Amino acid sequence: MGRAWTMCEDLDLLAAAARGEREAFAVFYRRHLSSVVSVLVAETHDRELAADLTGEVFAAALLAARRYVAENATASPWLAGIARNKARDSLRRGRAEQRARLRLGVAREPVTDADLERVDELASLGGQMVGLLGELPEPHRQAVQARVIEELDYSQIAATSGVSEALVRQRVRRGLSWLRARSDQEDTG
Amino acid sequence: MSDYFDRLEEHLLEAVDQLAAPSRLPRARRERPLRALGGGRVLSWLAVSAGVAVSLAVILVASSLHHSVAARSVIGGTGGAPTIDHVVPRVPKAVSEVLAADGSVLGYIGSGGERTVLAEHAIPSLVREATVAAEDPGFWTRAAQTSDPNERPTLTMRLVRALYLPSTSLRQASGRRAIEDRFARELSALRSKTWILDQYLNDAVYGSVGGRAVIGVEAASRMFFDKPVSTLDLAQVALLAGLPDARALTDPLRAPAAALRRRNDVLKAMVDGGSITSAAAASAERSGLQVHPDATYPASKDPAVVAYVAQQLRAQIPANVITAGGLTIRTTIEPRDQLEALASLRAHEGSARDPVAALASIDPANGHIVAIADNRSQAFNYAADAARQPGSAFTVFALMALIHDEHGDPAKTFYVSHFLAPGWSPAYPTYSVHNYEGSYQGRISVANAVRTADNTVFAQLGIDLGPAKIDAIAHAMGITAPLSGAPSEPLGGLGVGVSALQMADAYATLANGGVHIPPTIISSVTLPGGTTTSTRPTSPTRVLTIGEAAEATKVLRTVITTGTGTAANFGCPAAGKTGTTSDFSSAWFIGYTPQLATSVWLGYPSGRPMTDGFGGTLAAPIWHDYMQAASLSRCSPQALPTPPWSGGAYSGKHTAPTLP
Repeated sequence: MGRAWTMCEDLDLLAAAARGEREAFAVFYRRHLSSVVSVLVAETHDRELAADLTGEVFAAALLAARRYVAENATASPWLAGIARNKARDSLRRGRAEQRARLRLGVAREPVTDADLERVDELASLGGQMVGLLGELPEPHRQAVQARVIEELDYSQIAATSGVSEALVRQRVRRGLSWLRARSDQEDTG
Repeated sequence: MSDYFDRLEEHLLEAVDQLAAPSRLPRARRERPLRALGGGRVLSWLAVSAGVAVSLAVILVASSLHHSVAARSVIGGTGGAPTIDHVVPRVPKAVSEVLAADGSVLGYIGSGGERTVLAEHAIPSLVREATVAAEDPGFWTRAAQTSDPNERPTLTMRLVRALYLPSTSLRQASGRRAIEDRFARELSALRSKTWILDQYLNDAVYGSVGGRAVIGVEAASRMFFDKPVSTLDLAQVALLAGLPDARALTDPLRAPAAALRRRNDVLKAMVDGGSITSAAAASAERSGLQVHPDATYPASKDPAVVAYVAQQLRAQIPANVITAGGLTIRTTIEPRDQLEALASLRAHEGSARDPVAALASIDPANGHIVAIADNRSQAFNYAADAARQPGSAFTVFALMALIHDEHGDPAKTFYVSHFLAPGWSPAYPTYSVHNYEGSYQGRISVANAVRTADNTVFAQLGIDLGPAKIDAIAHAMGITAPLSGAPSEPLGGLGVGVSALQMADAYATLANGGVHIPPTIISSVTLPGGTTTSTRPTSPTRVLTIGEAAEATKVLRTVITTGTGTAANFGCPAAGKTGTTSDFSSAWFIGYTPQLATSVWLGYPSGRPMTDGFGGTLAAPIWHDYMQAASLSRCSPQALPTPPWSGGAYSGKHTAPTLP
């Protein structure tokens, strides 16, 4: 039965999870775990905090699932937004956000050293280049992030950033080629 | 051994169970809900769009339209597999239509495929009958699904395939036919047959053009016949009805003979089904294909207008509603004025090597943009979005500060026109001002300085009045560009430039007797469900007394009768001002009658100088031609009323002494 859910898109999974379909949310969780972890690691530079916040991000997603409105085939951009907000709030307050977890009664698990290794794996699955993003000039970082990580259409990015589609494409192209050159450097150096 | 993330998953799944039993979450209702993407945008949109009267309910309905099925209760047990109730329909994106004030089409927004959605009442019954006959003759009577894989899928199954089984997911499953069957059964339990048929007519793919799908019968009608489906005859309806089933084989453009055969088969099926007589079918069969493809649909006839409308729409309507499309956006554009604007611009600057020429024209009484055009016709609106230096067209704000703040009579206030060498104004030791070709006139009134565009007089007046008053009145009259208070601003030396639209708006305040009304281009938006929301008239603000506005008009009138803008004189009483930047990169004329405020700007995008680049020689003639044509029914001899206003001689640090 689980197989049928894996074929569903995020929109359906969230709608079903909101009405208590365990299996739908399990599929959603496994589908997005690595990208959420990689965003959290990139934002916090703290593996333990990233592991801790993963539960908070998915709990928040579950609470908001009923009202999720799809603008994309994938919920990645939406989840990445939740993850970034949770990471920033946590860093600002000096403690891990846990509002959503408290509301849902999601227990907090201790993080072991073996778990930290798993965080590394998940994060590298989710986006090798995410860590380098911050070194790009701001307009390029935004464009690459929106296109590659959040998987938005060029037209949507152009509309929200108020520049032409051609300019967004150019920024993504330049940003990516810089990132590739930079990650090659890191690999060889 | 399970790792951290497995344990986390377990905890989260327990929370999913809890969600299904909300009574166990007593606090949840009281707390502020988390922001979901769509909902959050709706709220922030409502917060910023005080100018548009759209009720919260309307937009919430619009943005949750594709949840309508999902919101219903679960039918029966799910057994852990998705039911149609779980799966949210993927309604294809539709183009949104941009209409002129008279309802004619200016263009389309959106690139999600060619699709125009029809409401139930707008679908002709002949189209329904033809489609049922062609696709699923048993539609009204038999079950919605068939489990026999050799049988043709029913219309309901095909709708399910298009709407609920997007190509990337369930559609590729090995048991697809079984899922289709089940979903079709579930859908027919949820919806009426008519709903299913109408949905099919709006969502079926009828063909493709330029690599993009033509979705829905209305788009197909526009594409193949260049007219709405409601105006088609029987032969044309039958042709369209036969397309979704075998569109690649019977494309009327590529395979006319096959299309004709298919059409006649559909006519025959309609006779068999009893919806038409054989005589009617025979008569229809005798007609040719009558295909008359519309090459422009859904290309925009006026891309610059559509670009600006799309930009304004984003400030008024949530992004997901715009993305879904299917909106009808009625604008304030008067097609006749718009055509005159394009014609005037192209007549004077028609070659691709000419500078860009842009025009914005506003009805001062209500702020409606009646024409906004340029000679480039790209998806960039130069009149609204190009920010350029206004030259001495900006001196009008120093004039207004003199009249409004100082009650200074421009005819009684005198300055000495002379070269202002560095150091003339101690606060700005390097600031020097000269007139074009050193034409200094000695002692002249401010009124005369307006007429002759004397920079040195306005430099002195600007310093005497101070930048705060001038900036304040410019903003109140409609300039939205940031102003820095630099001494050169009264002469048009701005940090950021202004658009032709801003300048037309500011001068419209004078045309409207001192009352400013922010410009609008969208008059109403109709959502796919048929709900129309009108843009609430923006609240007028009195900036100047009617007498102050009339005094300015008296002065600006002389620019056209005997000043730098005589080329603008089109015979109807009007007032205006030229503008020329010192490097000849921008030329302006902005002027008005009580019925119309219009600005014209010219310049190269690169900012390179124009030959003979004066506002009076380049911009005024375009303004003249447009206003003459557009004012045919708008020119009255009583134009430009002059109610009494009296001011005295203003005395500032640099004013010339009053003569005895």
